[in-house]
Amino acid sequence: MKTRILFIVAMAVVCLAAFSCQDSDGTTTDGLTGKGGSLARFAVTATHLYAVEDDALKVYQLMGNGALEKINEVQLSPGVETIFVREHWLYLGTVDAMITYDIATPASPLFVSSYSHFVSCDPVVVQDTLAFVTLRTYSCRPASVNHLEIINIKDPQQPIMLTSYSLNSPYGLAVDGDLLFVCEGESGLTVLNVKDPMNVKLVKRYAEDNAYDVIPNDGTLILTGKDGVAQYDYTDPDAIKKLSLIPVAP
Amino acid sequence: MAALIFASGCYPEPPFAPDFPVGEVEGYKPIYGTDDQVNLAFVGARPLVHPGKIYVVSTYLLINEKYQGIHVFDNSDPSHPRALGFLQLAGNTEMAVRNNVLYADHLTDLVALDVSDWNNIHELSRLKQEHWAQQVPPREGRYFECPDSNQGIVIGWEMTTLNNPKCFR
Repeated sequence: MKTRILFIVAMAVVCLAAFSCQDSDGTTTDGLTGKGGSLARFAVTATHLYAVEDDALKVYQLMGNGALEKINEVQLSPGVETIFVREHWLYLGTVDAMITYDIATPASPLFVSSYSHFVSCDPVVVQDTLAFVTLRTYSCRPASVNHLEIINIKDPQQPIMLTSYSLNSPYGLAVDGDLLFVCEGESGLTVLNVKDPMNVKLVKRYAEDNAYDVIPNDGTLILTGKDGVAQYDYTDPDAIKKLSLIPVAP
Repeated sequence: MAALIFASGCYPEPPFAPDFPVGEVEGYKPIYGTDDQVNLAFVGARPLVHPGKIYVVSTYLLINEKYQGIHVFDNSDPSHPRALGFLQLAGNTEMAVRNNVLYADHLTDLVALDVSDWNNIHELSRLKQEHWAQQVPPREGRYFECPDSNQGIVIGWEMTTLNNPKCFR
């Protein structure tokens, strides 16, 4: 009996360490990591937290109880604005580039490549072999470049631009399957179909929100804007339905 | 508090702050926090005023209130998000959650908080972030009023008309 309890305890420990068990409701414990918007400066993995400051990438290790220990700092050129993690890659959005780091060795991010673009305000999100970067100079830089760039990152060493798509004033963005959601501030929310990256199709522009950042969450779109935080059912992207609004105090 | 003293008036990066008076210009002014605002606490829900970044984890929706803290919602039903309370976290703009631990910036620190029970939050670790954003305003090529450590801790920035500001970023 005692051995059996020990075995169960040992298994539980192994499971917790691996973060790969099934919860009682059948979902994997990966659900324990949340999702931020594209403008985030924090990215968390099972073992580490990566934080970008204006000119540095800081690496913290998650200790057993969740406490942090700083283990590394990578100096960067000033102008780092966002971070996005996918598998063992970090994608940093900076004022003039998308910078890729390999975190296969999590404590020591390894510079892989830098994809340069026009100086602007520009988060990046990634899905499979494609990176989506929006460039905005509207209310940000004295120039007029407002568009989406879709970049092939199949070879992380050599990111190649596939296409660009003209926008009004892109802020945050998110991708879910074939759909790309772009927040365009006063111009609302733009939904694009990016199934064929060489032929981006406009699904619809939703004008009613002052949209700044967005998280697609299992069929529900969470959108921040001037009026508050709105949630939409986007199971039909041609006709997204407003579910609720957490309003900003008048 | 001594550790939070703003080390130098301006940042040695181009374009440098001018030696000459610039007169009246639009720019950022520091918002200083009071001791009450500076303490970390989970308090009653409050309305959104200046919502910042958002974060979803499990059935929770977290909404940053710029430089003030984090609104916590039970979002099990996205048609009816239910306000659970407000995590007072002065200076906060960033957050991430893993395994019921919230990682967030508090003033110039990076804290790890056990939030398995929001009403009973434990601090797991606190690290200094010497160059975290709130010591300087957003990088917009604007003048700003240089922070004065005698006035307290900078918890945020507001846009206003400044008279001969000495800092630029």
